[in-house]
Amino acid sequence: MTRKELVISNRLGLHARAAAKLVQAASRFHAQVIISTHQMSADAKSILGVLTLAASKDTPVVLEVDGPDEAAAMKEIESLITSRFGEE
Amino acid sequence: MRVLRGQEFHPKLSAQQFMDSFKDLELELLAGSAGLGREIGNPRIQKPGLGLAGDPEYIHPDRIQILGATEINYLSRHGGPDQRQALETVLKRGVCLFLVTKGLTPTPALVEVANATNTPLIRSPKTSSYVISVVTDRLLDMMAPRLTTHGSFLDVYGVGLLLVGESSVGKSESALDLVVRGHRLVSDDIVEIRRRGEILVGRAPEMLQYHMELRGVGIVNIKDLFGVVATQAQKEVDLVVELEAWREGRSYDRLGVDDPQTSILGVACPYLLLPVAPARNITILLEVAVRNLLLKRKGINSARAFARLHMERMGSQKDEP
Repeated sequence: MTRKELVISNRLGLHARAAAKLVQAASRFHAQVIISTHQMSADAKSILGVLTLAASKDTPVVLEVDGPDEAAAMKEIESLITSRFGEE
Repeated sequence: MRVLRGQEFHPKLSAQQFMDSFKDLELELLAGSAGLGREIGNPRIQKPGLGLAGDPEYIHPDRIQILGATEINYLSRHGGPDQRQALETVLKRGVCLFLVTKGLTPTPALVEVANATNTPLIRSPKTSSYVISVVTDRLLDMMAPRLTTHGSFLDVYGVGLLLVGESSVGKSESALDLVVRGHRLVSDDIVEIRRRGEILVGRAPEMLQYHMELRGVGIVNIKDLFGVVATQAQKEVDLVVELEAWREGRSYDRLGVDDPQTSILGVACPYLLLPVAPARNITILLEVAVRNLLLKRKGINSARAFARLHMERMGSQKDEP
């Protein structure tokens, strides 16, 4: 299992389209991906789950990736979050 | 027993939060304001009774201590240094808060010791019996241990059915199928389960309520699409079914004579592992599983009845020539 702490840094936070990008990225891998805030955790392959986190800008999140392709999955999701989902 | 995975949360309440959440009891702080950060660790209250007479062993400091007419009258009649000592012994145990009822006036010694030990002393004009029932009932809910888990939760024939399993195994699609067949959706995707005593109650996170995501269609609102009779706010969890893509070589239950269970927040709940494969109509299988559970509750266990019959037949065969 790989674990990493990141911060949501795009202006709009994990809004609907950003969440969809995250979910689509996570769904490309076999590994289970869990994303958590201080309040709750969600399956990163579930759009409703990710949206329910209501993670706004500057929210710290924890990614936990578990499975045969976890390294690649973590790399892809991490770059998506750190690149602010290609937004401002 | 297997344990249902999810994020557990055991809420605690500080004396200050208690005062803020029970405004309807018209609470007033009489002493010990420095101790308002103390935590209430148990939703059940206690009447200290004999604790005040010098036997503090059974005082649970994590419970709210109710001081009603009995206690206050006792303290008023038994003044002097003995009372002070008894109070100090009790309060030094770190009691989370004392709640005086019926608008009674606490003895000066009680106020002094509460201030000296930073024990919040709060008063309500309501009677003890009323305060006790309101506080216990609401604290049980507020302090109920919670588990947030990934799954779909429905009311099927009046039975609370929790569907769990890996993502994209078909939980939402099965839930939708069940709704179309007249059953009710409580929550899809994320279910919040609270434990009240031995009862598990599931509901949707507020933001998510009655929404569902269907791959290729997107996010839909079940209440808008199917009407108010297709949804339900909360429901007791009666049966957990785990959906799993059929795994070659894995053995699934073929008899059903055992009663497998899963533990949710320490409470045992009936559990089935249901393999998903082409030509297996999951919705119908789920309905049958629920019907079967209802039968079992009536004392009718089809699998065991069949096994019994089978044994009898085998026995009678032996007797035949």
